Amino acid sequence: MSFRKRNVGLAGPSSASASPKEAPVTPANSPGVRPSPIDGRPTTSTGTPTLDDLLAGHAGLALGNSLLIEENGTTDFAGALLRYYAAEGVVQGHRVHVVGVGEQWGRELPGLVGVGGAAGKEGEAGAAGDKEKMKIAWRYERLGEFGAGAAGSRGGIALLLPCFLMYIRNILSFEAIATPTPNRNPIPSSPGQSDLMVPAPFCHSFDLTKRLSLPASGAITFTTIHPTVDNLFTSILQSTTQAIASSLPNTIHRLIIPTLLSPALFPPSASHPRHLLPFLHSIRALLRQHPTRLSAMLTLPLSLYPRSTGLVCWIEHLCDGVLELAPFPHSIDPEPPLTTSSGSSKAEEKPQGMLKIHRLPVLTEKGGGSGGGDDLAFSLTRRKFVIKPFSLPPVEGDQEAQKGEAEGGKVGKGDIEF
Amino acid sequence: MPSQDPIPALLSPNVSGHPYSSLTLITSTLGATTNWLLLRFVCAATKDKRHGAGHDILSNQVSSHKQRVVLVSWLRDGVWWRESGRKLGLDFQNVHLVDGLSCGLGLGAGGIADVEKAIIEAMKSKETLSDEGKVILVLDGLDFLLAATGYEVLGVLDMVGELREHVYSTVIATAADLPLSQSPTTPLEISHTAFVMSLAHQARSIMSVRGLDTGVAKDISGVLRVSKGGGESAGEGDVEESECLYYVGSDGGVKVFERGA
Repeated sequence: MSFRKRNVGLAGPSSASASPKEAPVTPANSPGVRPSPIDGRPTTSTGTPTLDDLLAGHAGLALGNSLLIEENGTTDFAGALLRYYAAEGVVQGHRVHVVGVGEQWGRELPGLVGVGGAAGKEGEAGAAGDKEKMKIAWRYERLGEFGAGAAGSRGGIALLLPCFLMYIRNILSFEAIATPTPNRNPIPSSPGQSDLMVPAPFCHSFDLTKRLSLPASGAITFTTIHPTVDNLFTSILQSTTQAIASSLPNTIHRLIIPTLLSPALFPPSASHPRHLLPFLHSIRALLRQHPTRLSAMLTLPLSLYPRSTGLVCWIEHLCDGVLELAPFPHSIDPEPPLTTSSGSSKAEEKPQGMLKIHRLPVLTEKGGGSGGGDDLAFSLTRRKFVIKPFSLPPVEGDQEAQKGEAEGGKVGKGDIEF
Repeated sequence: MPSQDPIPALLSPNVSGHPYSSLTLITSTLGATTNWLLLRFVCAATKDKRHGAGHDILSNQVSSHKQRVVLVSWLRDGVWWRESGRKLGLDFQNVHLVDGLSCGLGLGAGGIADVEKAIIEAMKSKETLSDEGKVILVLDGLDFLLAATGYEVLGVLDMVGELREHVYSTVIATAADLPLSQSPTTPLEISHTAFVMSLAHQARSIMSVRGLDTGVAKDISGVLRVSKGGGESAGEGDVEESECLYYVGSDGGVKVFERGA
């Protein structure tokens, strides 16, 4: 019966009207959106590859979800993440809505590394086809772990895009990868298909010392906060809702709220639960209303609003993902004296703080734990923000002790009887 | 997961068979949500009748075991509940969803009266289908309303009391994070603590879900503790205090097991 239904649907006149409707959902039409390897829901990149990898295996921030980045102390690592998120949105042609801060913030977005890179790769595409397929297969294997079945059953396109590499058109089975031309694409050909041939990275890399050249047309809209207005949040909500409603149905939007409740931007009345919580609730509703078009990222200074207060607890409950950055006190030093003797590359990757996951989009809603047992640390360099498992480096100049420790460990292992 | 029973064996005595006019309080924390548990409650309520009436679908319609569920959620949208419910094979014919997230139920000018009206309307909307059906009311995130609006705690508790008179049994899910009730100082914390405390005193049983105390594990999502509430009448005494672990898979399937199992 289901077969019959499908046939009718495809052949019928309704198919013409149905396909444009579904069009925004398919990743092909929206740059910077790809289906999650787990369940196929559309995800978009946060602009930080290692952060994308953290988000419960979806390899990106699932659209229709929000991410709250909390930060201890007076540093602005969370702000860097936010800028990557904004810059990624601008590069992908998404509409970026920034709340509170002025246009100066937008001018300070990090610039792209190797702007011509994408075009160059395009030229290589034909020549290095075989080499590329190796990469594709390799990447595909990784996807298979998560459940290629889920992706395949959708019959759609899965864009597997490592940063800097190319996209591929996904294929239903592993053998298909080996075929010279992936012409088994189940998606009917459309004008957009030629675009598919253009490699469009899912996640770009940015350089904090460069400045992103913003496109002339309003890629970023800034919503200012009027401290005099009785409930300042309603205007933010209205402008965002209107912007989404008035844009094309395949436009992706990113809502950014830097340093929520910071007294530098928000009036004291903003931190009243009666104003703030309904606002966040409405944002949540808005995200759910546009599960394929909107994502949001917020940052919260924990030094001003500690996690031990009920208000912050509710803020966290109203966001889908909650991450906490706890920078090490010494990391403010640009050149810590300890690392002078070690290699410069090592010094660059020295962790600058710990990252804690309190909640993850999609997964926590289902009831799953917050995932990831390892302690995580982050480091921010000129080129990138990296999150990786935390491990204490060996103590400098204490090689004897290390040796002894290693031997001791060996002996210990042998001695223990189970 | 149609092949597997959506309700694990260890869980089933706790999610079904609640006596008349009982209240079950379910508490969650930030990293350990109770959505999966609420879904099991809904599942158990709508599936009870099937066991009572056998496999004949037609006889279901006239079965006196028919239970309806009114699910009011302030933090999750209707689409999410429907999608997750469908994965469990939940039949939404007997579930009335009130989507408090999308419409901002209770946040408008009408206040708490709006909420009560909407819920009672929802209860009555399908009444014609089953005359003597039992209605189970599930309220998810009522404490959010309290936090976001600053309503009087007594007013909200009054509403809960009145709603309970209309239904067979009630399930209320609230947050119970430490910051909300450890040392209540702000009005938000004080009213949240008062609210959850008095619900706990009224409740027959309390099911609290929290993350693992010892850290994060790959095969454990959290800890589920069942304890007696203050409202358990002496005659029943069938709430067995227990604590077990649970794991929610990526497909939404749930395993509940004893510690060390």
